[in-house]
Amino acid sequence: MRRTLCLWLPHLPLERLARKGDPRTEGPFAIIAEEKSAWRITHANRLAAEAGVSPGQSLPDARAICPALLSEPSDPVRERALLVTLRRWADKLSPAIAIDEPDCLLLDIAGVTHLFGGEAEMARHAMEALSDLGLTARAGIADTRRAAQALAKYGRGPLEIAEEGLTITALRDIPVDALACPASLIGDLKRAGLKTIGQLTEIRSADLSRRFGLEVSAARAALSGHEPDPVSLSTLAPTYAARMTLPEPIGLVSDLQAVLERLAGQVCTRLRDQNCGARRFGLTVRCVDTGDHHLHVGFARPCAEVHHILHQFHHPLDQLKISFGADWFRLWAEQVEPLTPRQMGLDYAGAETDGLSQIITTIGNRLGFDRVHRFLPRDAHVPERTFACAEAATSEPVEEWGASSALRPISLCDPVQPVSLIEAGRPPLRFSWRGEDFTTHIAKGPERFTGEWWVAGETRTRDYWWIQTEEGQRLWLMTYPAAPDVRWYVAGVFA
Amino acid sequence: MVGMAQISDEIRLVSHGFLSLSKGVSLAKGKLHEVQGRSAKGFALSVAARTSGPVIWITGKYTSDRLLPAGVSAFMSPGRIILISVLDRQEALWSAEQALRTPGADCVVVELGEGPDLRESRRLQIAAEETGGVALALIARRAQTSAAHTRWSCEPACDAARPSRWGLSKSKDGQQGRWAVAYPDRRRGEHAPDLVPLAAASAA
Repeated sequence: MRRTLCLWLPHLPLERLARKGDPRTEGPFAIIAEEKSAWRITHANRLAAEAGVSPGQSLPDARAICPALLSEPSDPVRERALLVTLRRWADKLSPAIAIDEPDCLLLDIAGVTHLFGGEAEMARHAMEALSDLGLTARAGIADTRRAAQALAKYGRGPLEIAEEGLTITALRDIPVDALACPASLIGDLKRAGLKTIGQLTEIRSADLSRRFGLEVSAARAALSGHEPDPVSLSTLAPTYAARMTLPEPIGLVSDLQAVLERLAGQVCTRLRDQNCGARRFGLTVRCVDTGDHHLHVGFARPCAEVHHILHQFHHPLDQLKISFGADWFRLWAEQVEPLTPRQMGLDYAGAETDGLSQIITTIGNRLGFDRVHRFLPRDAHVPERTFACAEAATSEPVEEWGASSALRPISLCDPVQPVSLIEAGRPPLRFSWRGEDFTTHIAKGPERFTGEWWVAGETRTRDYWWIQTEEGQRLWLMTYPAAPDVRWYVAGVFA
Repeated sequence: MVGMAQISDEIRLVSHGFLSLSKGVSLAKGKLHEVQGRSAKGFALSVAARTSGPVIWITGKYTSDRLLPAGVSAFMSPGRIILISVLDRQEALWSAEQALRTPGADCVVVELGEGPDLRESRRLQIAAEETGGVALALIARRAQTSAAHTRWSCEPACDAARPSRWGLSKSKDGQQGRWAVAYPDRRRGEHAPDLVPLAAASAA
């Protein structure tokens, strides 16, 4: 028989802030949420509740009742993160745990209660441990998920237990709100005089369905265990992190390196066991005087090698200013990706890509990954758009890139640089550029490009000439044929 | 014997072989080579076309003359180039050194304003010796006294068949000369430049 323990944390958002030491929680304080474009109270602390603030009130009403009320919008992401952390904590109670958002933990406790000396002892133990963490909990134990939830949320005491097979008896005095049906349906039930689950169970299922629809009878059946109401157990994604606390602070780079080596060893072993590597690693160094310092390194491809991590952290650790030492360290892996197995040895190309990704990683970590690029071809006819610059760390190289059939310069002047004419012509017969005079010897052109109007930037029609100057240099001259006054620009330089 | 330091007889000779450019003209691997002149990029691309691995090209982030893959494709596949944009000279030299120290890059090209001085060039030289990559420093302005293995000056010429003139003005191997150069062209299946010595010039 399945037994489910429901731990309900009714004041989770409030207590999350109180645990952080938020001074506002000492006075009247409430958590608010926006609902249909009005701010409404969702949780109120004891002082606020004593002043008359209750969940569901709108914020202006609550302020009118209790002028000293302070409030904070709810933060579902952080609240969920706290719940996930608690789920990890609950691992010590039971191996099968589910998160029931927003504020419930469901534990399958069948077969583990004897370890704690019984169901009631176990629940009490859990609630005590939670109250040590600064969290108020209410618990319910029953055969089914919904019954356990109903007992935790609507039970009289902080701990309610429905003995095995006696679910309905235990739920007799629980209000019908526990059915978890839409509010309008609950309202209908109450108007009909059905206030508790006990009253509901006295009515035949067929009669109930005829009056209120199938939903109510289905919920009742799930509550008593006549219909399945499964708990979907959540498995946590593995975290690849390791931390170390030292009895005495350290500050020498060699000591830091040694700590990092041990941490990296642990994390890498765990990564390799899963055949994974990480693209980013973070290291928190907690200094005794200046607080936490977060260092990050990235990798051009998934990495699970200790010496690579050490190598990349070398510079950031070197730059770290530690005056009185650090005594707490945590290394964690981000962007975990599967490692593709590669043949070692007899594989020269593989060794080469290894080296290249190491270059990209090293330079990217120091200068920034947006400064290491590789060219990718792009299908466009305007010369400056025939290629794209992609970050080398996140792109794959193009294997074969055929030679361009057109005559193109090896370097492009961007933006184009005006020349001053000495002797006009089309193209100019003599001109000066960058402090040098040039005389046109041979010219090929014009090659006309029409701007790509669908992209932002230069859209004017342009004419290009290949110019061989008598001085030797080969230039790519450009002009706008539609412009009223003819001006010439150098657009590129040939080899 | 005061003040007499022990001097090792052992001289470390590192040789990684040569990259043949044309008949009789080659470039030592694992060495730093300086390139000056307006055709310096053409020289670098011709050398890069002779290698097979990735080419690390270090250039200024705000430089106005940027490599155009369509033009580069006449020499080699532009997909081989890893372009590193640096903000200043220090970053350029550091990146070049890191790239040279790691096996994987056969050719590292770094665009500099002034040429590397003795200390900078020695560091690049040692880094290049570690892996045997070819290090090319493209010098836009004046060259300085340096530990580079060779110094080339490359100027374009008004000559349809051989559009560039390469001169070897300094070489630790004792080579010297001037050549009229036809660039390699992948479209014609050429992967090496064609150098013809200019006898008159070298005699001068």
